[in-house]
Amino acid sequence: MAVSLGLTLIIEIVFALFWRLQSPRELLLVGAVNLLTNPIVVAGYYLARWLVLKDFPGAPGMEMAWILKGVKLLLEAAAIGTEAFCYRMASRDIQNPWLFSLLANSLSYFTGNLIAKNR
Amino acid sequence: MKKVSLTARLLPGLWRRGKKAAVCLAFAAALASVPGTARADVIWEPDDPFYTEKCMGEAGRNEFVLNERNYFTNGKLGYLYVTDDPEKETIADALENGVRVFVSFTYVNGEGEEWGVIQYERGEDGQISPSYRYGEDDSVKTGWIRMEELSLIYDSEEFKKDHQGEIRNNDGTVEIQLEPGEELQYWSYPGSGNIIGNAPDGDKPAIAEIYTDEDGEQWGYVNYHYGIRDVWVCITRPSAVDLPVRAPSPQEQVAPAEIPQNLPETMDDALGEKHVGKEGTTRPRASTPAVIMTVIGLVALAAGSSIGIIAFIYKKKREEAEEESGSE
Repeated sequence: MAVSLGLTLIIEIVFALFWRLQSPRELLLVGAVNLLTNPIVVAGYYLARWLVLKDFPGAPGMEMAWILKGVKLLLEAAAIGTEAFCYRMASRDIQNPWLFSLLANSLSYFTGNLIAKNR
Repeated sequence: MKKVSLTARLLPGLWRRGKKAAVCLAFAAALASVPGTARADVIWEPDDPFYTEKCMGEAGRNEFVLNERNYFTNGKLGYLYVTDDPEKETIADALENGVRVFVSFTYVNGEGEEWGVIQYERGEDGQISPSYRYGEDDSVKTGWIRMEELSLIYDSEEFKKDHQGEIRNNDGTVEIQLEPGEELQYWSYPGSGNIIGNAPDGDKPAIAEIYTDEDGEQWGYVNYHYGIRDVWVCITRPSAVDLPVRAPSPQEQVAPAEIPQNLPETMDDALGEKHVGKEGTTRPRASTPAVIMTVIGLVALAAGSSIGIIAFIYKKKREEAEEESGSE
């Protein structure tokens, strides 16, 4: 969980710098927003995984994998929405909070997956 | 469908029974399962439900590490427990110390403990031996055992590690010279005293690496040759069967003890509430509710502090906006 949070913070803050957000307050906002959503998403995913494995131990592996992929998609979508809402409310410099949130989250998600696969 | 490959591990037993037949069988198996090159030799997989289920899941085989080595069981109690699930740690069987097992893959569970998967069968005399068969009858069992309760059987891989600086690549100049009628002997490693097979008349494998021992005997490492894998030949005395033994002293073994009639249900029941983790530190097994409460606490802490920061930034933004509208 800590690794996931650390990695997400680094990727999204670097992304924010590329987005030309330079003021410490904006970068702090990006960090805080990720501190809000990332642990909930990760914990929610592992909770769902535990429930699925606990309640359906005999379910075929592929079926479980698809259920968990669906859960992950829902959680990521919720995170993108929450982050976009926070940026819209509190940011001065992010003009398009939805696009920013979508791109930042996509980048951190795919980078994380890539690292996990090559580990 | 699982693929079965006859590799060198299966062959020593066959060799003892019928050398020529084993060579023919190895050759046939090599042809059948290794089309093309030796590197295409198929990895043998255990017929284990936990392994199979995990492999079918999201992480696939990534959670398992290929091991393919032989060990002796060496539990602290004089025996060790075999579980059917290294996460739930439910006990399915127990093996006395001194039993040879083949660990094909290892797995680290949520507690950080390393487990190895084994497949074995009990002979009519009660003797346990590694098994590589699939689903033919109920006598073949699979299970997971803790790696820390095993002692490695010194092998070619370990020998190569220990003599890294003394082994050199064969540039193609070194070949085995056999007199007519001489039989080439395959050894598990130089100085092992353990002949694991021999080659039929005139059959000479390619030598990949060279090692010279203290007596000046030159040894050649054979990576793969017609189903034989990971073996050594004595280049200077290829047919000798009485070469000096220099095997390192084996790890200390705990004497075998009688296995209890009624097996405990879980490893916690067997070893008390605490048992030793991978790093050698004794740590309590966290109960599921405790883990969930800790995670909820941490998530709430992160969420609370982040909401505070976001609210502070939002307030600042509002104040600035009010100031700007006031100055206008």
